Amino acid sequence: MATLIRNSLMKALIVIFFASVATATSDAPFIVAHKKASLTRLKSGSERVSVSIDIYNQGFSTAYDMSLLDDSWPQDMFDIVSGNTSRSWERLDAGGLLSHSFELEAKKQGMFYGAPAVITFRIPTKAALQEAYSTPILPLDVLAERPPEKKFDWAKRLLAKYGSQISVISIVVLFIYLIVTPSKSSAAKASKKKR
Amino acid sequence: MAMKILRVFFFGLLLLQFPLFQVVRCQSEIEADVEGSKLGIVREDVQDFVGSNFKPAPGVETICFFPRNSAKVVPAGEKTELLVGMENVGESPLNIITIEASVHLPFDHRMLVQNLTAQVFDNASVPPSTQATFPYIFALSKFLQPRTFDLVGTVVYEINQSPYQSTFYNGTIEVVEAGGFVSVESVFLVTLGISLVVLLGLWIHDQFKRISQKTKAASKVEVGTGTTDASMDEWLQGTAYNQSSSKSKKKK
Repeated sequence: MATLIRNSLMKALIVIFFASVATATSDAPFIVAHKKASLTRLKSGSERVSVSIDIYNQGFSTAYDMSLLDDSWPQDMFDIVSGNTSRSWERLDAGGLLSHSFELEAKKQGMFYGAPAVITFRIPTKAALQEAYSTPILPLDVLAERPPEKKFDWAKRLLAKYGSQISVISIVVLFIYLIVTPSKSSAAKASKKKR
Repeated sequence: MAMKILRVFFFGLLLLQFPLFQVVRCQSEIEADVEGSKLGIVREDVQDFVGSNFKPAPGVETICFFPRNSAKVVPAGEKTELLVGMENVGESPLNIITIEASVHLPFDHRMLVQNLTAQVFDNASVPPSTQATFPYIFALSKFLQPRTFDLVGTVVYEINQSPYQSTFYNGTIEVVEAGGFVSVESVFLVTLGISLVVLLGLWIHDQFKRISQKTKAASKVEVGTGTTDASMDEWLQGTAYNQSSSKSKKKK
């Protein structure tokens, strides 16, 4: 009886050991940064670039002294309109998210290839500053020549997007209206009969 | 005796058929290439790396993350983005060549459903002791059935001119139908449902009316002067009225 219990205990311990070994990954933060840039053309003709950077911590421990720096926008091509290209936070816990966004105004025309933003942070187990890069952005066609929109382009776009739904709802409403309201010809017949 | 021999022959015939039986196998191989976006100019030797199998390098860790999509829901026919995080623990920089993915059936990985376009990188590198993130945008065929599929994503990279490959994701994704709430089918179903409910209500209303009419005693209805027959008045006998009423009665 005692040997049986001992055997089962040994087996349980071995299983737990292997399980822990299998699940033991590096206990460090894994910074995944997503950088997005979009162009908006204003009515005045100038172009604005809205940049947003999302930082996720997909690792298993907290990252401290997070600092984001996006130097990929040269001063001669872009002007900062709102926000700042750099920011710092105290910590980012495992599974957490940090967001930062800013807006720029484009000055020069041409294709722009942006470099990734740099994120630096510290971890308790290492003294050196850790680095992480965000995603690069797709090439931006800054201040591109846009052909003038033809007359009813906006109407065509709306029709393409919502056409099927509008037609379905209108058919249903028309059908209900036909059933609910009495027709004029039947009303006339009824009045003739009465006479 | 004869029946016994017949039975034995019959079973023997059935057993003989066994090697000739062919099980019908269903092969679902829908390969559709979807146009993806490319970052930068394409390398000349990239075709050597696409579709080949290399081993993962020891000092590289990968992670896959679906931004704002923890349930890994992928609408069929629409663009979905996933982020590939790479950590270079080694001492030499690594260059990312391409990220590719494919969709398989969850219970049998040999059944390929769709091969997704490979994203080729020209100048993407991860310096030593750094982490970097790369985006991968893909779109599944809009005719895919909404169910769980297996997505296998691999990243091909090179360290010191030798190629390596790591699988950053080998798990399930949930494919759903892309489309708004208002569609032809949903509007039709909703209207049909409402009409059925209305019909049921009318039928119940009729039943109630009939039941209440049966229990109500037949009440006397005042008819007025209609019951008195004008032809019964004697003073009208032989006049024009009597003749005309008889004519109309004949017509009826």
